[in-house]
Amino acid sequence: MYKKVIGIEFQENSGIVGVASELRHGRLVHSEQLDLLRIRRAAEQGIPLAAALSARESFARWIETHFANAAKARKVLPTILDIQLPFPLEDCVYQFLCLRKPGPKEAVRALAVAARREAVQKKLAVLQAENLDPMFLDQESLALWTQSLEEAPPSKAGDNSWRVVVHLGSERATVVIGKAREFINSYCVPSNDAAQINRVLTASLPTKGPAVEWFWSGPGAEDRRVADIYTQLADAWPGSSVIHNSPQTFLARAVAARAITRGPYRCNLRLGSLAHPAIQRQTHRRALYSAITATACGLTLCAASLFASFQVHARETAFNNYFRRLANDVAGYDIGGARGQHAVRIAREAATNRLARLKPFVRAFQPSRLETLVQIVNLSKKADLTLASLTMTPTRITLSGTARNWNACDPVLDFLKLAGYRVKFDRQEPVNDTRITFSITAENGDEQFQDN
Amino acid sequence: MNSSKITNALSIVAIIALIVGTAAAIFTTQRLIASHARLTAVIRDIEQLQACREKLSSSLASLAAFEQLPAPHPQLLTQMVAMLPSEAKVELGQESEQPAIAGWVVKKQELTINVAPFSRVVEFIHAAETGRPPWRLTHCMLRSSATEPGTGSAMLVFEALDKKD
Repeated sequence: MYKKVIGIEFQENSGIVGVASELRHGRLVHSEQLDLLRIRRAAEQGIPLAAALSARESFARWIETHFANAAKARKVLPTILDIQLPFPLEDCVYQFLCLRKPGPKEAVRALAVAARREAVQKKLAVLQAENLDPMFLDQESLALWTQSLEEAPPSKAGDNSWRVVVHLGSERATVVIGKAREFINSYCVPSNDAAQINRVLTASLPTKGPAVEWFWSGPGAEDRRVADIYTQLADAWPGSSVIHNSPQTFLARAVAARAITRGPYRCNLRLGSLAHPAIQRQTHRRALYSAITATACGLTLCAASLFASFQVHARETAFNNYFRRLANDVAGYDIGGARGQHAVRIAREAATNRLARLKPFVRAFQPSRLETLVQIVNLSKKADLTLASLTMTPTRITLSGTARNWNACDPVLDFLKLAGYRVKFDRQEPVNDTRITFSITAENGDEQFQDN
Repeated sequence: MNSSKITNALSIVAIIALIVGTAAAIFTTQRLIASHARLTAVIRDIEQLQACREKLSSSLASLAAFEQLPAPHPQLLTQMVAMLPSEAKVELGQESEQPAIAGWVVKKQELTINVAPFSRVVEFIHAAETGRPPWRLTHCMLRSSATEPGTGSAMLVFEALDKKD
């Protein structure tokens, strides 16, 4: 989007006039009227020009389709337009604007803007003869309509009222008809011919005599002339009548404003091979950048995919190698081609076997039984026990002997219990002797003692 | 070649690159999904093996300690009985061997001592158990003498690890 554009209009009496329009902080600012010399100078400085094809050289027309589906409607629009044209569509430049459905189940309609290629070339030739090459070639009726709405927005009360914009030239006038904000139709009639204007209104407006807001513009929109024409029409089409500010440059303002702002009914009929070289270069550059970007994206995708594939492969290989090393390590030998759970099973079985065969090595580091033996002997001495026999096996300790009293064995019993043995204690009442006969059986289910 | 032809050629290249790139991305994504499932299974297997290795590691550390011994042969009990009193009658049983792991064998030997001071028997056991590699007392049966306190007979069973050359 450009920030500054010069709108130009070829007028029969004054020649080419122009207005520079600029966007400043979001506000549109128009210059005073520029003469050809200043327009050329500005164009040489690189400021784009915008012109319009007149309503005689081009047209804007609503086209109805039979489809409620926009995509389907879009496909048939050129065919419908072709049927309605008195010349081949191939000889035209055209655009479809505002594809819309009036209601949810109604058919799609679109505004077709078209001009004969020949007319566009002629217009460009006329301007190029003056060393002017417009970048934008607008459609006059739409430009007049949107600018009229821009400069004199419809009041709330007049939302549904009819608006007629009459652009008066010296020889011809363009009549643009719309309702509220919607463009309806436009006509090119001889200037000063109120009867013709009346006729086109009768053809376009549904019933005679609805309220009409009249807006006047163009180099011929002088107070007296407007009053003359309006007087002839007011009886049939009564309503307010307003002459737009600076009517002389209204169309130039309109095309310039439309070139630099967004909004409805925007079009540029310099299309395809007729496009301005700058736009062609821009389009070409965009296409080139898009192609380069797409190529880069594709190559990046390929590279990223390859990289990811290699990474995944490397990671899987690393995990598999680690798994194989671990399995061999656990099994204690090379498990060969076994994989997954099969390898785990082999390694586990081998590990169980190895654990069993390693038990003597583990036992060698466990506390000696001699310590237990010495402890029992020492405690027995202290408690004045006389040991007749002492047997130690990996899981059992058996003691027998005599004690001086009923509870003398308690220290030994406590020691064995503390050491984790289940103790069975038998003692007998003394018969002749004063000493008590006892026997102690201590059992330990601890695994460390069981493999002997 | 004019710029329009270059753009057209580049557009074709772009389309091909995008198609190939997209195909590669789809293929890689599928591969990643499959690889994730495989890796999950491998990690589960690795965790099981690591648990096994943890169990093995302390046992293997014990083996390693034995492997580091300069002379991996226990002292002969027949030589060690010399430290017992000369009046003690010592009978050495048949030595048995059972294979363990990595060339090591578990030796077992029974020893019967008829009437000796228990203190000397304890000294003997202690001496046997402090050797490198050690003998380890697995069974013992002591029976006191009815006449002389502190003396008696003993039946001892020792085990030791020995490296076969």
